[in-house]
Amino acid sequence: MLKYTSLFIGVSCIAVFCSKCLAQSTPSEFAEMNFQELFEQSIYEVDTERTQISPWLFVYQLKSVKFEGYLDGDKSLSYDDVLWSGPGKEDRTTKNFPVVPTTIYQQAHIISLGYKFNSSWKGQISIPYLKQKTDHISIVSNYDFFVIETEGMGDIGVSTSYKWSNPSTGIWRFSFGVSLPTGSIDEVGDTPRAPGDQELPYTMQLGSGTYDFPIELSYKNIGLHDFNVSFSANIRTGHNSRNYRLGNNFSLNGRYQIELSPTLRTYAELGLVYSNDIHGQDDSLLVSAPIPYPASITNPKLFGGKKIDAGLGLSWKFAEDSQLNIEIGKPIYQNLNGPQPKEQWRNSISISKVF
Amino acid sequence: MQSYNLAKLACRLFETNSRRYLVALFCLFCVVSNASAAISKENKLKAAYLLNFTKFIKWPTEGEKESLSSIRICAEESAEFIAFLSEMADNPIFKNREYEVKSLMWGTPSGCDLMYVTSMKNIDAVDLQNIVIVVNSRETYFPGTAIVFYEDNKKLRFEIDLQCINSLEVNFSSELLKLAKIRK
Repeated sequence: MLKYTSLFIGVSCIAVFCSKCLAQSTPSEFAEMNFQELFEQSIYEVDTERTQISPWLFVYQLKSVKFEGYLDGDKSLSYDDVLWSGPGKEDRTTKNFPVVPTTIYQQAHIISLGYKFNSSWKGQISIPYLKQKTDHISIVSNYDFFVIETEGMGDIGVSTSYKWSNPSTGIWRFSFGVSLPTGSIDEVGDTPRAPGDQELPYTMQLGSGTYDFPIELSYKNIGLHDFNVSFSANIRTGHNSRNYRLGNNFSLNGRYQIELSPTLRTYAELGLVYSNDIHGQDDSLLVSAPIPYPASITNPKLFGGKKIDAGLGLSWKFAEDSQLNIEIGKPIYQNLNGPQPKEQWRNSISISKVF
Repeated sequence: MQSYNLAKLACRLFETNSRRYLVALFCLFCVVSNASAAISKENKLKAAYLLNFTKFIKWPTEGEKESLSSIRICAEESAEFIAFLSEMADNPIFKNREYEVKSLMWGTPSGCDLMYVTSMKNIDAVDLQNIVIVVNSRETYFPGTAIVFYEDNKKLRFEIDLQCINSLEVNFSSELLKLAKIRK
């Protein structure tokens, strides 16, 4: 599957980025034109009649995030605190577990295609391909240390946005959309729960299994100082076929941009994020015991919390229709419904091109 | 031939163990290698218009002999656009004047004679006296704009704000005004 995805990305790159190499005219040809000749020129390339300010936008984005260590509220816990030592050695509570994920690494390749209907309305479709890997330790024999991996297509998102602006109020944008339940929620793997493959915890699934509705309202200042503020939310509805729905997310972000040159910008941002826990429960993740959760990530109440994220980014417009963005971020404060794996960092790199 | 080589490179990348990372690098390579060929015809036309405007505008700092004058054009555009505009300005057809084409830096706009702006700004126009400001489209707001590009039936046109140019100590030739749509 990955091979075909890679092939698709590669072919897309060739088709999108290398298609315009042929149409070119020299500076001297244009320099020699007077006003009359300029007036007669179409703004489209003669050979293709293709619009040069195309309404189509292609974006490829690679996002990564790593979780390691544990928090209960804002208090750090060691793996020894979270790993239950076993019967007769330590009391089993709702805060310790026989299985403990130590490192969770998630990566998403996202291909998006946007279309600008007019100066105000835009539409976009995003297709993610996810890869996830979790290292575990446990007290179960033969599972002292084990790794579980999943990969595949995630939830496809379709959204539209409306922009309005004027010199005194700045630029406002409202976007809304729907995230379709195309990602699998039936991923299985070999866990200590039983011999063979079993249903994997919520964090290892590729989709939400529900129809989700992302919305965002943003404001961008028009002035010598570039800053923008945005509020976004992901509202989830109903319950999926495994009888749960992931928590809603809400975030408030502020970003300040500094123009290093007309083509190079750097920015710093700060975001407040609030996430709900999981509603409902996948009973197949439970074991027959007074406390039925073998790991923290199988307990739906141990998800969500509050975070303050800080990020730095660089945006390089290396051609008039192409842009490269690099961003690194790290939570500077986390207060989680724990014990819960702690986010260490996240980063993303994206390339966009109007074609 | 170029496409064949790229396809060959792509296939080689897919055969390696770390192909997913190489695919990302390959995309970057494709994009960067394509950058130099990525100036749209519309922007080439705009660059040509900018230079043609300067033939019909006289700034107060210019001497009686035009051959001694130097026009500083500051453009809020990509490096490719700046390079294209610079190369055009080096053409013998513009030999009567010296041109200095540079990227627009918002901290020092006062060093420009003609400013080409592509993004909305609401800055104090006090420091922009006698700078002829040209914006790339009607969607771009900028205080003190003298010339606005617009599209009319797939052709590039421009309009001139009469009130604005009257407030500048800059002389627009009547020939240029005849060619423009006049905004009063």
